[in-house]
Amino acid sequence: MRFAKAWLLLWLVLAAVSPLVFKELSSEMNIAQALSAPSMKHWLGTDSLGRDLFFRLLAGSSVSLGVSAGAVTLALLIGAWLGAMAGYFGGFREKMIQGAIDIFLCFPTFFLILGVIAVMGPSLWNLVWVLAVTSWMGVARLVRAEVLSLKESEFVLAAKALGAGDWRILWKHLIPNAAGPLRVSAVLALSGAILVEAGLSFLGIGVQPPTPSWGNLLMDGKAVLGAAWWVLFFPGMAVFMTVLSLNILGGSLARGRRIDT
Amino acid sequence: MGEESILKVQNLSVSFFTNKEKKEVVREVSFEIPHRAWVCLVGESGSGKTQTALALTRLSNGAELSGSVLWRGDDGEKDILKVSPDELRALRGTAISYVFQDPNGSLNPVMTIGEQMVETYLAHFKSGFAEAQKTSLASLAEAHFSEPRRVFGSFPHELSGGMKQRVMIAMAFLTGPKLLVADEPTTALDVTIERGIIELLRDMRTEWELACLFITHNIRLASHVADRIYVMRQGRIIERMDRGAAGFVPKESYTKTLFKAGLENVAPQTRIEVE
Amino acid sequence: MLEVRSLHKFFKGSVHALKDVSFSMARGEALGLVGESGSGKTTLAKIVTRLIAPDSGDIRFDGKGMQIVFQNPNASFDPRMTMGASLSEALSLAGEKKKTRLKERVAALFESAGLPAEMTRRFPHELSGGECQRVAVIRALSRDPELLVCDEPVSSLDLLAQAKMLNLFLKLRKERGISLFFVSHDLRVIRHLCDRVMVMKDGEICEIGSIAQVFEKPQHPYTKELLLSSSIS
Repeated sequence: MRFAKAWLLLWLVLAAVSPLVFKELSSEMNIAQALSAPSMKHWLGTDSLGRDLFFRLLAGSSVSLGVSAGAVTLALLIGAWLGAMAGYFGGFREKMIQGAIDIFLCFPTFFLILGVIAVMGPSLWNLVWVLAVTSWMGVARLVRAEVLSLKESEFVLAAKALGAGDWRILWKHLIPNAAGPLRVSAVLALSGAILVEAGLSFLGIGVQPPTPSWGNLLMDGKAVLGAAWWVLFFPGMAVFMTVLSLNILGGSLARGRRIDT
Repeated sequence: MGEESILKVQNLSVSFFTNKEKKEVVREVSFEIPHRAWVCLVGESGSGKTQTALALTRLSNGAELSGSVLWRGDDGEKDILKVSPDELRALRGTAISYVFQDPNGSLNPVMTIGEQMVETYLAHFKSGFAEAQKTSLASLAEAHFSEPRRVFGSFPHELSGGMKQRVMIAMAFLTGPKLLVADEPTTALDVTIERGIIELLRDMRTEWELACLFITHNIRLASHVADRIYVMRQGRIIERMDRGAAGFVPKESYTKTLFKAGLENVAPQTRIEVE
Repeated sequence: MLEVRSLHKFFKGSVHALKDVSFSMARGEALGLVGESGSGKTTLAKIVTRLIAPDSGDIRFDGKGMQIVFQNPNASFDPRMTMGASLSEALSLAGEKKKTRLKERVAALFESAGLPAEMTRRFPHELSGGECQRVAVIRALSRDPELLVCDEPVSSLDLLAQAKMLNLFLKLRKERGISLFFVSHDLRVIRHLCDRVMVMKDGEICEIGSIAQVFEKPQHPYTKELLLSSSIS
């Protein structure tokens, strides 16, 4: 557990820092050194264009994690807002939102993403919003359930008696109290988003080279697997360890959630 | 009274360890429950009364117990804190039974009352379903139910709060205990229902020679029903009162304050002297 | 000051929670409402404070402000906000916008109620029922209401905490002339605190009169039964 937290913290820092510091180093090509094994000069080896894999991995982290985090944040915003409205107001609004949730859930996510990317092009921004649009539903359901159960609480009644309006109650009281399960959901959604991005980039329809992402590093790696195992191995390990750490974190959050009232 | 005690607690202490700190919630508490007596343990929340009750059959969750809890049963005197797990399981239910404040917490919502009673019975006695059912129905009848069969076949949510509590008493009674420990059994109930429960407990005590350890924060209620009252404060017993001709006469100022808070003999619309 | 006429309330179509309830309250008086669970007393309290609307009948209130205190003190505060923050919110809902003034007023309110300043930094689950209820009362009072509606405010408190709350209510009546609409299932508490009392059963008012009248010469059989069960007679 501590290892998982440390791993995630490390990558959080690295991903944030990489675009500023390592941009040059990650794209520096040196054909003479192409496909060289890990060594003192290149810690994780080089890829087919002689680029240092270590720096590529770092640069890729900021792309992969950035896209995933962006998508999850957007999904949280959309889902929390819609879920809260459905739970609090009920009636027509709830029916519409429930309907939307059901419709979106019916779509086979991966194919929807493929379709959108095919039509609109694989830009980073497109990736972020299409990932968000296919994962807000779980958040909405969760928030709706929490809001439904909390809206009859005495502290909500007390706020109403003091003159608080609906929106204030929703944003200031109900949604923050729904944060507990939301945290768990967000962590797990993040791990899912990383996998989806990696998968898309691996297939060549996600992040496009030369912009590195863990997914397209895997794509490079597969191509030269026979000759240079390290090009696939290290990005693969990065994805694996990150997703694993997120799942461990999510699991422990889910178990240890203390209900304060 | 003046009979031998069925339960003698000596220097019972209950401690919890949180964050490597030891917290003593019950400190060297000693009391006695005579045969067929109604003993009340009165105290505010946090006084340790519930933990004391749970400790009697080692039901405290993860706490450290010290002292002795001497049970005088048919086969001599035993220290419940020291008996083997098998003996303990045998004692629970047949010697001492519990009724708690919230019947919903003790009743399984997806099983009928009858199923739960039979299950309890069979867990204690080797017998067949028929006998278990018969005893359960008899127990329900004892609990003042006019239609035991109907209750037997009902689910918990089909019964009112007062009825559920009577079911809990019937279940506690099922295994034939000599001591019933009731922890705030009527606190969540309306006063007219409460009267029914108290009368039920009184009847059971008379007919079945049951002793009762009744835990409550309401000293007024205690003074109406008890033969003996122990007052607890911050983990200790600070006073013992036996019923006399004039009822209960408190000596400690804390106890006197509790009586005043119970609004007995306090003039309306005047300040209650509690601080 | 408060006049209620022919209130009816239905739940889920068929449950007749309030049947033709009518009563009135004078300024400065303390009216008790006693009934058991299911009698409709909480519903009536909520309708009087306009938290829910009646299905028919009307309510006329010409006092300056009405506030409500609930039964479960710890649950009537947002568990994620400190007591100080909750009180701040109450004040800002009442119109106070300046942050510095808010802090000062919250501190002043706590002090005037005899509560320690550091309690403003505590969360509801860290306080006892009695402490939370005291804060709930000052929160309600921060709006300077003429009528305080209390829905079983002492029912979940220990005897000593209950006594302190009753003293607080008496003090409020004496010093500020606040009217009380006090709902409880406990007859003794009502006798101690109120001038008049209404007895409710199954959505109807069975009896209404002064404390002396109802307690010494009860008319309705249900009132008699209640008095007997509470061993007051």
